[in-house]
Amino acid sequence: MDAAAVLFWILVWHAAATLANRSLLLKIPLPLETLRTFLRLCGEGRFWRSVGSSVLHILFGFLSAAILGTAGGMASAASAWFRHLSAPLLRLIRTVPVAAFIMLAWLWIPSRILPSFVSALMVLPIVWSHVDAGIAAVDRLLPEMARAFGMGRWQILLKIRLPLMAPALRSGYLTGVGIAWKAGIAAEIICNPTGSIGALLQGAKTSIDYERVFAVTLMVVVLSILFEVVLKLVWREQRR
Amino acid sequence: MIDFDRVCFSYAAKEVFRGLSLHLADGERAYVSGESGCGKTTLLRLIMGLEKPSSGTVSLGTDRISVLFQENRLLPYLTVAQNCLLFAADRAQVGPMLRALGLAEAADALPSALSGGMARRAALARALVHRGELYLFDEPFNGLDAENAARAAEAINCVTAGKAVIVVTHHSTEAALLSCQRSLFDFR
Repeated sequence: MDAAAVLFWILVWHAAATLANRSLLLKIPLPLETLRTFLRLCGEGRFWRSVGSSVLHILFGFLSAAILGTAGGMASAASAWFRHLSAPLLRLIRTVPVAAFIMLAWLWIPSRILPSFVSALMVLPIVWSHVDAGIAAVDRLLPEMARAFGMGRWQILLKIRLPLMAPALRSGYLTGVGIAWKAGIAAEIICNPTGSIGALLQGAKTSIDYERVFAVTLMVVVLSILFEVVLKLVWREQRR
Repeated sequence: MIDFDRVCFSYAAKEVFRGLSLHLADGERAYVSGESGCGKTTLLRLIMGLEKPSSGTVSLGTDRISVLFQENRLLPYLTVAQNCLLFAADRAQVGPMLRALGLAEAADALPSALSGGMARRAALARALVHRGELYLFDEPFNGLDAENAARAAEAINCVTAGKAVIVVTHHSTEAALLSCQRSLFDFR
């Protein structure tokens, strides 16, 4: 991300907040006020417990979707019948709004598990379709060449097919991480599990503490970027 | 080394071989020629086990085959040297082979950065460092100028001395360059 572009948008935020705050009806915290509140929150143990709990919710949801989506995408690529059968389910998950899924799932699933479930559900079709497309994009002549040279099935999978699929997998997992955070925090805000980022946001909103709402949201952004960076580092290490 | 016994093979409705029988002895060198689309490459695919005959049998005296396909089939995410190392019988032979084929400076280049002739020589280097008992070359000099074709022929003759070799070619002069005097099967 370009630091100059980030700075530009922070200045836009500052200008918009300064203008809005002249009216009595609207209150938008300034960037510096938000940062100050953010730093104050960072000194509170309760805040970090909430952050830890949300990180676990989202991590569990993302990893579940990564495993199931990879397996599903591979099964779809292997069988046209399975792809045909799974297509309506994936389309349904893609088109139904996340809030509607949260309300539906809340009828049966306890609120402490719901954020993980919703994260997994939203990430699943993304990883699934990327894996399926990644396998389809593999040039069939290359695994065939390796077979002719006497390479075994597992070696072909590890040394030929996976590296060829890598760009599609990477793109699927990186898109999935962002979606996992969006969906997971939305679920936490609606179902309000005790000691989570969503519950903090809901509490701050109820007490009309806008600076706190902005500061907690800033933490969500930081965590989402951090997840993405860690995933990229893990990916780079694996590819060495 | 290779025995075809009354082999039949068809692609959908198109019959390619009916009752084909042929033999290649250990260490023997032969060439296959004929017009495009007549089944030369299919013959190699049957030998490699990439196609199964609809009837008859294909017997091979080895499972160590080194192949230069009609297409180069280089792995796009590996450098020229890495493409060779992945299939090399002896890693130490990769450097000298690349030098012999005039690819020393391209060893660290990705296939996308190579010219057509360089990619052909890289694919040839990969086949030669594999050190098979049977060598299959499908139009080995495709895209090579005279100088590089001579260089490639010298490397092929050096590595494949005493091994079984089949060359698919449109030109009898190319077969002669590789000391392949006998026609294994003439599709004309």
